[in-house]
Order: sequence, then structure tokens, then C-alpha cells
Amino acid sequence: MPLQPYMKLLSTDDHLIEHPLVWSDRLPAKYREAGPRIVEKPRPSGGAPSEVWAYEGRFYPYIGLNAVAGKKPEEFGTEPTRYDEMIPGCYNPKARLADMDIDGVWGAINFPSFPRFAGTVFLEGEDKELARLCVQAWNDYVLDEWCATAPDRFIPMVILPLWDVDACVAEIHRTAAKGAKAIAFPENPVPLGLPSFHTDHWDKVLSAAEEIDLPLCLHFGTSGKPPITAPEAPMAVMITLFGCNSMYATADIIFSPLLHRHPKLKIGLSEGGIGWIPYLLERMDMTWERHRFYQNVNQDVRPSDLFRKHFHGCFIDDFFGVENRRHIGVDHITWECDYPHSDSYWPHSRKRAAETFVDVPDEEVHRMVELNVRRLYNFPA
Amino acid sequence: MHERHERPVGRRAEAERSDWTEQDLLTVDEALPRLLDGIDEVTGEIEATADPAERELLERRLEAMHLARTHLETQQEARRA
Repeated sequence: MPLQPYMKLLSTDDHLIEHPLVWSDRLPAKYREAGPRIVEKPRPSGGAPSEVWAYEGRFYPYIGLNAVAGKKPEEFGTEPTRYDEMIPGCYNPKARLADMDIDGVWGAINFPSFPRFAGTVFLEGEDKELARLCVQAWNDYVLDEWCATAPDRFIPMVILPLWDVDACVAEIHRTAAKGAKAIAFPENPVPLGLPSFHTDHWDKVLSAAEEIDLPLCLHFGTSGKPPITAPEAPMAVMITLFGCNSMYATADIIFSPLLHRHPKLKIGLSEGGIGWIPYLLERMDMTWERHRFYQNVNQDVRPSDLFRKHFHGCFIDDFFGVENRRHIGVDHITWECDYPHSDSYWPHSRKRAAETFVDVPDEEVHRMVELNVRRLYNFPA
Repeated sequence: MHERHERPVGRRAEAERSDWTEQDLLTVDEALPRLLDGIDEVTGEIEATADPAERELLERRLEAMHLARTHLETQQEARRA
């Protein structure tokens, strides 16, 4: 079996659910009322009240427990939920480790939930000082509480106060000093009302990430622009096309000046799959060869070379991508678990991974499941 | 000229999801059956293996799974009470 027992599975895309006191434990007293806190709301269907986040008077349903499988259509919906409906591994790091042990997974990078996957909920904050403190509080929670539970197993990723470049730089330096290994960043800032990757707006932020060697993790959907084709289209369309957001982000960044100005920057594409990568590289190279002469794009470096210098992708289930791994570059592929989302195979993730890698040489499997992650995120064994 | 359809055509109601980043979490009710399947599977693997080292690993995993099962069942009962 190519997935050998000595290989430690490191997931580059898991998620944590913030416990109710993440912000109230850390914000100054004057901000505790306005900062994120859990409040109860009656459910339209009756029963125990829902627990939702309140932030500056706005309410955010916790998370859509669309456990559609086995339910009748009239039971579908994004009903907010309660912590006691979640498995404890969602919000308790010790329970998470126990679930990872059962699942045969050694380590993981965890994305935020209430702040959204790149912390963009704080862009909505009216009081930007409070918003900045909220970003700091989440980062301190991840570094001092969540990852501190098992520093050899949790890979710390932080979020940034995206509305203020200088504050972003300060937060990168502050959190790097505390052990941060990666930054969650929007796959495209434009739909969020922020300047694009084609401007010099982000240069100071990206230079800081580059200097400290913190990869940017672009989780699909962090632009806030899901691939919805029509209001009437079933969710199947959107779910199928999720990976296209990663394709958009890749082409957008590759044809921007960003990587030429930041030659050491590393970018991880989170949850986007990998099967599309060979096609996109071929398409970008063809576009570059035929159309670069009349456009404001770099004239010297082929897109596929840029990709292989800067990017890595990850997958849960992608037999096609694994089969075509040499067209992607084995060193640019990582594995993900997606716990605690129901897309994960918990408690069978290791078994599933073994099935995925059944025809792959051991040495390549080891690189994809563990060694690439250790190298890319400076996370030695 | 084609007639424009104003209403979606379909037989099943669609879930309403205001924000697609609200991903579907594993609930206790979903996780328990998965865990029970896993327990059955590992129990079968233990019976089938002759390698003592492999057997020890599997037994440790099975013990962890039973512990998780107890926790989840307790949580489920508390919620239903």
C-alpha cells in the first residue's frame, strides 16, 4: 500500500468553529457588548433556541446545518444551530485531536468560521478599531489557545485587517513573532470592495508575507462571489463549480504584476481541487504565447513556470488530478481533509486517502500528504 | 420567439442558503452512524489480522472510537432530554 503507516497525513484545509468566548475573553471591556458574542434566537420551528453571533448589533446565523441527506425537502434549510448539535471536535481542540487520531490524520491548517474563511466579516465592522481588535483576538485565539494545544499538529494560520494595509503589515509581524505559519487571504479582493491584485495596493502586505515566508492561503469563496449561474439554478451547479473560483484566482494572479514584484511569495489554493490545473496551465501558456505582445503582461516568464514557482493546490477527492500529478508537479500538491464539514470522510479519511493513492509510488505519496506541507509551511517534523 | 419561463422547473424543493460559505457541518446525529460503521469495520479488521503489531494499532483505534461514541451518545441524549 503506497500510503505507508510512517507517513503523517497533514491537511491543508480543515476548519474550526470559534467557541462563544473567543472575543469576549479577549476584547477590552468597552468593546465586549459590540464585539462578536453568541446570543439565542427563537427558532421558527420551535424547540431549543438557535445560537447566533451578534456583532455590532448585526446577527449572523452560525452555520448552515444543511444535513440534507436523509431529510425530507420541507426539512431543508439554513437553520442556525446550537453548539450542542455540533460534534465537540468543531470547537474543542482536544476533542479535535481525538477525532484526528481516529481519522488517521496527524496535522492540519484550520480556517476560521464566523470571521469567514479569510476574516472578511470584519470588513463589515463600522468601528474599525473594534474590527482590528477582533482580528487580533481571533489570531491570539488560534495561536495561544487552539494551536498551543498541540503545536506539532496544528499549523497556525492568521487573518488580517484587510481594510488597512499598514495594520495588515503590523499584524503579520506581530503574529509571525508568535509562530504564525500562513495567512488566510481573499482569492480576489475586488468583489469585497478592495483594490485588485493588478494594483500596487497590496505590495507592503505581500512584501511582509514574502520576507517572513508566510504563504497566502486562498480558500475558494473568500472573494464573497460564489459561482452562481442563475437564481433558479440548483445548488448542484454552484457546488460543482466551486473549483472554478480557484481557476479564476490563479489566472488573475498569474497575469498580474504581483508575482514579478514578489518573487518569493507562496500561494496555496485551498479546497479547489487539482484536476483542472493541467488544463489551465496549458491554456494560460497558449494565451501568453499568442496574446502577450499587445497586453500589459509580463513578456518573459511563462505562466506555467510562474505557477510552479509559487502555487500549490490541494484535494480531498480528485482521482483525475492524482493521475495527472506529473503535469501539475508532485511538489505542488497537498492533501486536505475538510474536517468538520460533512464533505470530509471522517472517520475514514486515511482509508480514503489510501484508496486515492493506490497506484502512486510511495515516495510521491509521502511528498503529497506530508513533506510538501512541511516544506511549504515551514513546519518541520 | 421562445416563451420565457418565469418559474424554475423541478420536482424537489431547493434548500435556501443565503451564504454558500456556510458549509455543511458534521452534526452529532450524522457523525454517530459514521462512527458506528467505522467501529464495525475496525472490529472486522482486528478479527482478520494475524500481525500482532497491526492488531495492537487497530485495537488502540477501536478503543478511541468507542470513547468518541460514548461522548457523542451522551451529548445526543442530553440534547434530547
